[in-house]
Amino acid sequence: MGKHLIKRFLMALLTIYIIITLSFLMVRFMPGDPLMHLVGEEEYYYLAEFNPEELERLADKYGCSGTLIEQYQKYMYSILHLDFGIAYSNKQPVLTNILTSMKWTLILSFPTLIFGGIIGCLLGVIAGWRPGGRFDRIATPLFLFVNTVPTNCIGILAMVFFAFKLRLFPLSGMTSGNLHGFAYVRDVLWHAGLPLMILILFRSSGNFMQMKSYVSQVAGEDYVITARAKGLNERKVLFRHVMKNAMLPFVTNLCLQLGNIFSGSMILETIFGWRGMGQLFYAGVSKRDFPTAQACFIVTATCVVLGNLLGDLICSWIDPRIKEDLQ
Amino acid sequence: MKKLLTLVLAVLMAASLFTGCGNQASAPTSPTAPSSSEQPAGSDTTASTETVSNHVENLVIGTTTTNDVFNLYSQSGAFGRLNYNCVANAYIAYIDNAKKIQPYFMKSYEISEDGCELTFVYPTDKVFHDGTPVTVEDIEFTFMYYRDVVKNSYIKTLDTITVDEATNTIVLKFTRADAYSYMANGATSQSILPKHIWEDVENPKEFVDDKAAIGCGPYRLVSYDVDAGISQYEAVPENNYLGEIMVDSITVKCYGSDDAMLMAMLNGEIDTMYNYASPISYTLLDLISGDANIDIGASPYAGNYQICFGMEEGRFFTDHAAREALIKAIDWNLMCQIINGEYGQIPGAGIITPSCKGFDPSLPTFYQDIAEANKLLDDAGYADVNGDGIRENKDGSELIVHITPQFSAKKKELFDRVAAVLGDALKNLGLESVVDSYPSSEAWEKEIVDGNYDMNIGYTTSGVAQYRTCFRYFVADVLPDDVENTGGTTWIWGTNHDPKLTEEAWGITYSKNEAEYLEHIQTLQQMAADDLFAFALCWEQCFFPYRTDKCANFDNWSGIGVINPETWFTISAK
Repeated sequence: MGKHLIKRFLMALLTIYIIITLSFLMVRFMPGDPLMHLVGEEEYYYLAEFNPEELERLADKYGCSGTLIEQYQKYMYSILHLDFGIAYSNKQPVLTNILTSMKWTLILSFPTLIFGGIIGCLLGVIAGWRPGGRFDRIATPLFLFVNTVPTNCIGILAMVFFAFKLRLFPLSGMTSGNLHGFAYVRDVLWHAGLPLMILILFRSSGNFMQMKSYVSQVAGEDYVITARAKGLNERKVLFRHVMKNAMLPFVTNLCLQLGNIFSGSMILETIFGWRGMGQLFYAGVSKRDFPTAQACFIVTATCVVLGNLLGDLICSWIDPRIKEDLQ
Repeated sequence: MKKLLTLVLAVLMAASLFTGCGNQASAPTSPTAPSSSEQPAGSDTTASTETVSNHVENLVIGTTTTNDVFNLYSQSGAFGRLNYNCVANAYIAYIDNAKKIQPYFMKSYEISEDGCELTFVYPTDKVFHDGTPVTVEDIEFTFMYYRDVVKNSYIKTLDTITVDEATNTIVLKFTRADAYSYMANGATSQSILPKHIWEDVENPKEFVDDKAAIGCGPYRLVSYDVDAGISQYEAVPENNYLGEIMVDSITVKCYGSDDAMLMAMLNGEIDTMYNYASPISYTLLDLISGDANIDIGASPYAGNYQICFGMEEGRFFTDHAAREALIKAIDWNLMCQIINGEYGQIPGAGIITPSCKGFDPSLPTFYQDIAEANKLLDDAGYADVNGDGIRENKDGSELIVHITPQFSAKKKELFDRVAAVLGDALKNLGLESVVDSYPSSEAWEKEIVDGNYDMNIGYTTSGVAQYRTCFRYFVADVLPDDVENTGGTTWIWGTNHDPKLTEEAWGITYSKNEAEYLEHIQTLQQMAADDLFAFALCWEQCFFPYRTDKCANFDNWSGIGVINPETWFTISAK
């Protein structure tokens, strides 16, 4: 078991190392001077003409001077010291921006993970346990529809209806400003309400489809028939035998979702002006703020890798079949 | 089952909590109202009842630009962008709606005949927002800071500064005739900096201290909330540069998208919008056009989409007949429709738009005549040699026209549609075409700089169009005697080596006075009409909407909108 854990951990570390290296190479192998991507095109040209000394200083600062190997060494040193540079969108350290955005993303993503997981799981179990039943016939097309409609479409429609027409929620933003204490918390919740409901709806629909599928599969297994043959009532069959087994792939899936907890929803955050990780990444790419985009890429990819690792560990812990194999 | 019901009830209760918050928002005391005692009483625009004059108590401006950088030097973020209109800063001069350079911070200015000397009369009663008076040392410091630290190109040739405190005059002497150029470009984007704050700042863009927002403009930054995207400003009565300040305070609110911002305007959450050179798209007008209290704020846009022909040797469009044939083959109504809907105007041959300084209305307007276009190519010797229905080169070799749209993440669909209309025009001429789309601005720029294109679909923003104009995008060279590249060698995307074009296009930057500037503009338009080295695709209307039920006397400046340097002194409450 210990050997397995170490192996998985080393694999995760290797993956993260490759991600960081890829991030370094991506900027270096794009057309043009990498410094241009790091300081911004307009600034680069201006400095090249009127202030070349400053450009040299920046080249040194961003580790763009010297050979590729030297640059790589400086880059790795900076990353290991969590120095992602200065964002040229607001001249703040990229790490500060990321930590702030993560906080706001968590406000949306954590409840989404919890509520989306619970709602999707419960409804999926009900639908999967009685496939073709009344609930399944209503819920499946409904969640399938939600699952297939693009997020931006639902986001804008919800904004028009709930925020603009009914005025139940604000049109945009995370807080009204200049509030403190409970009023602030309440205000943030009010702002988070609409994007949160949409995210939970989407996450629930995805989880519903998966859980329904898992339960339907498990319900046909021999051991379920055996359980029924033993005279167990339906409730006990469902909770002791079906759900227990269906939960294994579902928990793995939840762990993978946990890996995305800091990534944020790029589209919904942009629509609702929610300054989370998704919007930070989007703005970093669209505004050519490469230090920010690069750091977002590394952070979110690392979180996904760690989420995978966690999923692996939990599965090997809760699934007796895997545990036995390892032992 | 009981547990399930309990859970559903819990979710419903959580949802009702949010709904409760919503009710709070619609109550008279809006959650947007600042609670600090420093700030004005309400965020809604209302007429002040305590004063005799009809001051606007608080003007609420919406923007989609992030509101998180508060640096007087920076032009990014809502603060920096709004400062184009002299809010926290006071530019030395500004360009009015008639495109004339008017003094702003300075009381007056005068350019010597040789264009080397600039004389200002400076004010003595203005204050910085930390309460210190603006002195002539601050003014001198500002000029030197822009020359020595910022290394601004427009003030690079500043040689000496002479002050006469008896007459409150300050004279700038340049080593070449750059006084007019400085007034048109530098003075209209440089504000007076407080020496006591900026004298130790070596990297102005990276200066993030709270003091970085202290200027001598008509408004002081009172508070900001980065998470909320809201900033609050209050008037500084002493800094009444263009008369009595009529707007007592300003609130700037940031929105996630143009849609959300327009809905906020419909709800009365904001009074107007400001996004620098980014008006709202005509496709969003349906959202607001039915509201009697909203003016869509239409005005002619100074910028334009344009085609620049690749003029490297051997390229198809080095032939005048080919350029003329293409222009005659375009479905101009369709082109204008896709770029600017029903508001688009078929352009004239001089490229620059009617709202640009020195526009020549006498030049011909484009039209479609496919028969005439085909005849031009027939006469020029482009025939279908192999009988496949596609024309070949004059020497019988294969002819494929490369259409290269500028990379734009936001406007990709529009560029692609423009490319499709141009492809149809080429098809009408019996020409085969291919669209070269690039995945990034870097990849696109590399191809353009290398001259690997037949026709590039480009764009000139209103900011560039208003002084430097689109012509700078068509030249391939700098002036032969411009050893210091003072005009700037950035964005040289043209491949046209015509020395006359080079001389005239850079002549705009080096004009000694307005008459000379206008002469260059007139010549360039005529050259464009004769030579057709480039052409505009549409002359657009732009839209900066505003509410009409709260404030009066909004002046909708062409291509800029109702938020401009004069707004704070001219509008009044209804």
